[in-house]
Amino acid sequence: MKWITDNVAWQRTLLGLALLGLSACGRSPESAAGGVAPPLRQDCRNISAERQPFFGDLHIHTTYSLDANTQGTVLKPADAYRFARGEALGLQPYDANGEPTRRAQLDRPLDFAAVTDHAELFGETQICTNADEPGYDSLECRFYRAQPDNAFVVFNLFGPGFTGIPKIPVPLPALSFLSQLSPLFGDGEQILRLPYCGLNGERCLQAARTPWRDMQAAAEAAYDRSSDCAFTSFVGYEYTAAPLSNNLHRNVIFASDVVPELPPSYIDYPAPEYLWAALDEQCRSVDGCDVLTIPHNSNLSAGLMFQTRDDRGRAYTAEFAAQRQRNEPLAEIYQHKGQSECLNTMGAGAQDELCGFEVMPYNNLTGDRFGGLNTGPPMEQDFLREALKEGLRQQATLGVNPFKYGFIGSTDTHLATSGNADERNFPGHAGAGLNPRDGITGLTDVIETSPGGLAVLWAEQNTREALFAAMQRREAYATSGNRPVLRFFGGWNLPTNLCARADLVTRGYADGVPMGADLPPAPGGSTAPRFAVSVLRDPHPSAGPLQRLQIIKGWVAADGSKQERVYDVAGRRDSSAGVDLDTCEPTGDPGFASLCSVWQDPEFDAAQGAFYYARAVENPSCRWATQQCVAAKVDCSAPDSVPEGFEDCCNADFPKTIQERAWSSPIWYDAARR
Amino acid sequence: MSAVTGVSDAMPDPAPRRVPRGWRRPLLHFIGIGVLLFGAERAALHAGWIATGTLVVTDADRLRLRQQWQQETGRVPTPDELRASLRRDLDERLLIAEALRLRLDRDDVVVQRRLSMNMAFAAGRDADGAVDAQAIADAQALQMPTRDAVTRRRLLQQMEQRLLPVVRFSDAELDAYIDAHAADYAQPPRYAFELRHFAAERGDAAARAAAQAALHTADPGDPLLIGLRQPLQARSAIVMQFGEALAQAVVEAAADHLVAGVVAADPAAGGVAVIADAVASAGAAPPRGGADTERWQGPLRTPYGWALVRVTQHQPSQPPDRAAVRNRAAAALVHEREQAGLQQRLQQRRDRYRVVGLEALP
Repeated sequence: MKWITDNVAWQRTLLGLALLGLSACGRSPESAAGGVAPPLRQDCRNISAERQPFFGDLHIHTTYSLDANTQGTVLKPADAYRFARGEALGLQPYDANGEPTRRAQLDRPLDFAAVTDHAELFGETQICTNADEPGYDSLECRFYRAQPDNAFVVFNLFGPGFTGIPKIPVPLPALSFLSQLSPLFGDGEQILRLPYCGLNGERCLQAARTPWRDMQAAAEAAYDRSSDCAFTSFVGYEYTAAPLSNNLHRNVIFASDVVPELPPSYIDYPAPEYLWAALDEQCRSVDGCDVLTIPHNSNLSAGLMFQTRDDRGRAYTAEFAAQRQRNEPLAEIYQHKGQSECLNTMGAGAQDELCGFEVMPYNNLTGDRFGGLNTGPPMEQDFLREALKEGLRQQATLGVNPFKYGFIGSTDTHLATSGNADERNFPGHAGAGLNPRDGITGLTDVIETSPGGLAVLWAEQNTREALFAAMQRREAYATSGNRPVLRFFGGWNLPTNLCARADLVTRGYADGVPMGADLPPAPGGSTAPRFAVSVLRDPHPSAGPLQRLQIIKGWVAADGSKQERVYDVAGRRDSSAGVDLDTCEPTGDPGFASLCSVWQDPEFDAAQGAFYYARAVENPSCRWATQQCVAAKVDCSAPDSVPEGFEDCCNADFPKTIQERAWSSPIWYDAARR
Repeated sequence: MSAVTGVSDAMPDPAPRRVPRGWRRPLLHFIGIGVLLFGAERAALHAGWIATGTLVVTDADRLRLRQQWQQETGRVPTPDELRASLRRDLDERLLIAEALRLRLDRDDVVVQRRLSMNMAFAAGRDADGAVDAQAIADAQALQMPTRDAVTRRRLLQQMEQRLLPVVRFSDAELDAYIDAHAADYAQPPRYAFELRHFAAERGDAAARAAAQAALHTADPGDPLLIGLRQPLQARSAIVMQFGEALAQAVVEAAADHLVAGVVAADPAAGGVAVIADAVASAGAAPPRGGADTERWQGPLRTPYGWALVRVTQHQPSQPPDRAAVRNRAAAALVHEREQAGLQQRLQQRRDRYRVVGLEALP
């Protein structure tokens, strides 16, 4: 979008549109209850009362994120939106003439996207990469430019990283300058910035305005406000909380173009509850602002993401639980850094072999840096299935469920390649892992990385209002990058023959509730809830057929123990489907184009709260790394012949195939409402 | 002063003085002539009467460009191709010469950092990213700014940025631009259609046979999760959801109706033709037979099994939706004007350089 920067008049128009209302933000707490959808704009050519699936990516980084920038990403938010809409992008590494040596393009454009650059270090990155900024020649920036890999670690440690260290209170007000000099001093409520940010970080805060305004302008330019409704953008950012690299990240998504003047970041609001309070204050519905936050990579939080205490170590209260539920209707269940659904290490979950899908072998963001000293194996309580069960337990105590999450997938690309979740064309993550800045030899990323997934929202039409309302009511599902269509309804009187009827969706809404909702109180005479689940395969020629359809139930038993069970409700569990690992061609069972079932819980206990979600699984296909290994003709039987960078092709610790899948948001049964 | 001018008080004044005495100072004359010469030179340069510099095309240049061409395309360039290649090369050299004349190599931070880095590398020192004035002077003495690929590219970028005009346009101009490129911004034809779906789960042969049989019966087929009545959509969207075969059948069926003249787009209805209604109201025989059931096409393979399809609406290509294409058209307009301005300014500079050897091309 070169013209935006060159055309002063047009740029002003866009900026003016994007910045409307900037100074007047803040959300009243009652506005965010999410129960009432905003009025729909009835002007899309394509509108359906029974709702349509829209595919998108709510987690995209560009050059404004420090970790993307230090890995050579120069593409901006406008480029990320162009890519989402189907245009091609050139990617690093760049050759001697500054020309990109790689190219990427979606073969199916996205319906919506949100660029979510890290709000922390916005200003720091802007200063160090722009020669016109006064701090460009500071020591820190010279270090940033000379050693980007080390700068990534140091900047993050001095920024968001040190907050986990216990602080020494400043003994006298006269010594308050100590908190500006060392991360060891202070009250723990504000994080130190690097010295070149100036007193109170003012210089970096000022510099952060430029990227934030550009992100808003890019979102505005990309949003199709015509009746075509071809594409929806959201203004957003990532809140990058990571005490000692334990991940508490959230993507913050705004409903409209009315947003805070600067994105509330972890540096200024160093715990999620402070973020929600800041958003309540700076994003008020009376001003037209609304927002939600989406936690991601709970798998890398080392036990923090779903802990049942607040930042000061106090147990949850009903009010705190409600604050969390109100702000966080969705969680990201899958992305480049693995899945956060389940870890099959204990309880009934140990029987669920599909939990082995794309598991990151660490419990925090440090990964194998520092020889693995700051990390450990993944922990069951960091996974959403376990968190949903803990949520039921909290609800039994508090009356409110703090962990009432629907599911979405996204990519977390740091290359601005929005929604590029295809195993056949994975250009790498480019935020952690392999750095593509100066060249790529072999696999395009470290073996444990994944190409990420997509968010799917059921909405009447493709507008910000309709999609945001879908997110708030959790009528959403996640995919591992493929595009199956998945419907999931729950109710007490759903007809048992729905799969054979043409009005499954009509009856689903009329006689039940869709994914993301609560079952209504059981009418008299009901014995157990019934669920209708139907999935249609991804129609793309390269996509695989379906293998099976499952419903996963979680509940808390009378003795307080957490329970779960996986039910196969359609398809074939003992399928012979496989993959020829020399060619990546499918073998065996041809699978299914569609699967459908109306299922009634055989072990329903009206006294126990429960959640149910659907999982649709495809036949096996080659994992991204296997596809690259096959293309490079790697022969693991002759280890000396394996080219440099392809050593992990022969790493037996990682599977060669995956089963692409979709996860519906859960439907909850609240025993207290019976 | 009188001694200098040699005028006696006794002599009568021969004529009234036309020029004040101060104007006769030689220093002033010197400055005046200097200003005139400078102005004349600028005017001549601007008008292209004399050259700012000379660019020489040598046999070595021809050989280099010919080899480059061969490396990239695997064949020898034609004389026209070589001439075009030489012209591009000359433009690049011209811009580099202009950049050096404007001292951009001394002022640009990126160039300075690169030169410092190169010199540090040459001296076997670690580059720390700092700018070293002596190293830059040495690099310039070695003509490094024009030889290093990165600094050369940076100088070219800087010159292009300087030559790019700032484009401003009004809403009326943007509208006119969209009108002038109406074909590029027109909305594609859209089709609404109905399906009868025969699921792959019946077995491929059985599903196909059922679809075939349904051409002559009222068999409604199987339910389909995404619905059997599809709203208006472009061909590309149909391909994505239902595959190439079905999309092609839809397009051809709609085209048949229009070619037959049975249905014309109704401007009052936004150009949408409702085929069944139009057929009925026109009282004309529909193409391909007559009975409604015969307008089902198929069997057609889809990702979900086999299908019969019937077009219910056809919206021919529509004029541009201004709101929808506004951003895209603005980008194209700016790009077009920028390039025109750039070429004009480049031509002005070309006119100021003398080129030797270009005419000797084969």
